[in-house]
Amino acid sequence: MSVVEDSSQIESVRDSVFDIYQKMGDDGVLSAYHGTFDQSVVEMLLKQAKSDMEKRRVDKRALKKTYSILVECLENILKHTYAKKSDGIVALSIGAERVSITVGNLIKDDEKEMLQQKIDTVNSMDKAALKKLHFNKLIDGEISDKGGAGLGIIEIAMKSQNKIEYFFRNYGENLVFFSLQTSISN
Amino acid sequence: MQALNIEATENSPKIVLDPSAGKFEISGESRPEDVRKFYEPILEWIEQYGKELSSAGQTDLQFDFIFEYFNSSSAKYIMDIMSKINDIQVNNSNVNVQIRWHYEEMDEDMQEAGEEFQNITEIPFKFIAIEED
Repeated sequence: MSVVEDSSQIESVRDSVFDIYQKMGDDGVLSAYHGTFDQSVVEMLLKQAKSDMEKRRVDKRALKKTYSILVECLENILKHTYAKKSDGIVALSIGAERVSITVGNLIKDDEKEMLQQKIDTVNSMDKAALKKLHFNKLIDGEISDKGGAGLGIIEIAMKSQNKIEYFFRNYGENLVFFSLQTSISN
Repeated sequence: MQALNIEATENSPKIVLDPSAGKFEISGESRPEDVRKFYEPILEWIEQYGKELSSAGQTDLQFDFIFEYFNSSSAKYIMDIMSKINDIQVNNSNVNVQIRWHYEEMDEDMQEAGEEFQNITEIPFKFIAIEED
């Protein structure tokens, strides 16, 4: 990268930092993080989210649900994000009626179809069907090398009691940006 | 058998498996970085203890699960713990096992998680709601 490009990028950040700040404020985002994910970042984000929710007097039931879902979302980024970048983005919004978690990270494009299928399946299920699927996975599923039990998406759907919103955007070089959003009624 | 005691960390639960004190308890938050490494020794301990109990007299065992939270990969290992405890009951007619599943009263997800484990074992479960302060 040339020096000229570098300094123009720095100027561009200067311009966009206010836009990001304002946009997040308008969208009701309470806290957001973009950067490298490792265990210590996950610990920091969980601690912060918990204390933010307590300060905002989110009720205990919604707080526990949000915390559980946030753990699954952050661990998904930690375990499944495209290894060479190992970064991601997470935003927490607390409204009067609901708490929302939005996450995003890069995946390889050949992982897209399976992920989409998984989410569409849980979104089509009612509570009883989700419970049954979870039960079967718990009995038959194996812990993967990445330490996942294949239960994360199912638990997100069960605990949020809402549909999981998601989208994919092509990112080039056989990569796809994957974003997931879920809400918990407060 | 020697007790197995593990102190809690910010992402792993406290473990007390202590036959001489009659205390068998898992409590706190479970989302260890390496879930396999954390739970394998616990499973091994329970299995060994089960073997030892075959030559013991009439024994009542109570296992207390007092989770504040556990992640989905821990769920898999908690199920394995349940089935090891189930084996103790099945293999030793002299042993009566009870599982006590504690949950905060507003935490329906934790209560339902307990019911799910109850469905995969033959051990009697007791549900204990912890009241909010």
